[in-house]
Amino acid sequence: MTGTRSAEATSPLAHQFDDLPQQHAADELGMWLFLCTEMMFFGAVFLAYTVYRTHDEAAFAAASTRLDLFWGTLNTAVLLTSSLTMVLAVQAAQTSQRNTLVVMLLATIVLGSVFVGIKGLEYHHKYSEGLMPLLGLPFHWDEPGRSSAEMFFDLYFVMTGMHALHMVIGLAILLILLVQTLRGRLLGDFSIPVHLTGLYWHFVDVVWVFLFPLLYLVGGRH
Amino acid sequence: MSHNTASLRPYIIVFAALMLLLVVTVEVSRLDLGRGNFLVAVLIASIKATLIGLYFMHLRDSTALSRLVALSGVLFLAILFTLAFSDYWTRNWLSPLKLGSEENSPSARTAIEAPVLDRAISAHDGDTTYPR
Repeated sequence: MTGTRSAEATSPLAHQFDDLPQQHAADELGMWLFLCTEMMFFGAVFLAYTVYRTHDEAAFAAASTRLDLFWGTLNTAVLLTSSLTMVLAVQAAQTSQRNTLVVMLLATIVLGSVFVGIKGLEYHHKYSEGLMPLLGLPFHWDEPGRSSAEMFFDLYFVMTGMHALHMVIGLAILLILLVQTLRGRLLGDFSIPVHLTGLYWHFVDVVWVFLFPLLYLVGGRH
Repeated sequence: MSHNTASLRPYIIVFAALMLLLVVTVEVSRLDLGRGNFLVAVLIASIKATLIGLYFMHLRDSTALSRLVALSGVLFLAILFTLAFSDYWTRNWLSPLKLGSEENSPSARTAIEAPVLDRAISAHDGDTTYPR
């Protein structure tokens, strides 16, 4: 599979499928089933969040104001843009536009990396403010509702941490796609891996779309 | 799957709508709607998620089976939340539905300071005949 050939010698159609549209439909279905498991995976922590927020909305609101709204909003914009570049990458792959695909994959990787970088910056802020109640670190909270505030920050780190982990995995997959594209693959009828990665990436974006208001915008900020 | 190079416009439009809804989300959060803030935030997020699902994730062009599976994920989430909350609320394990219910009564203070599970466990302190 080396050399300057732009298409593989083998057919993209696996032998168990009748035709390519059927194979693509099956690929998509499989990915959606996986995304359903991911919905439940994140759903569990969202449930915990909802229970504790209903329990003490005031403490959650107070804790939420301690998060960096600027960086959170910027991160949301960055991630939404990366979803745009991702869907443009899928389009480029399907229409065999190799150069556009490379550019869009690179753009998605850069934006995704910026997101993770900003997250790291926010985590560092929380650590230096004593608002990281993990691994036995001290938690500095002098207002009422201490245990609820601590629960808020526990949930913040778990939810955004799991999300960031999914981002990093997505970035690794995108890097693999980039390498494959540079070797002349993943175009036209062979583009389904790009499409499926796009589904994963957009799902991770949707999770953040819910995370952002629930963590950063609790109860009439500013 | 047939797409031509001229069909970038839907993606740009959806992206613009998503960014606009982001601004709306932040601005609406500045208003004090009490419990309504949570509902509005989730509602706007759901609209954004639906836009991403339909257009970016190509659910509009997918088979009915894929759409059904995607919807079923949401349905199971709804089951999770409904059953869990019907449990919590009917056991009275959540503090009264009002904001800032601080220091009002001993029971409210217990509700704030002691995590729910701790309270359930400590309710059995002193049980010498446990299990009955």
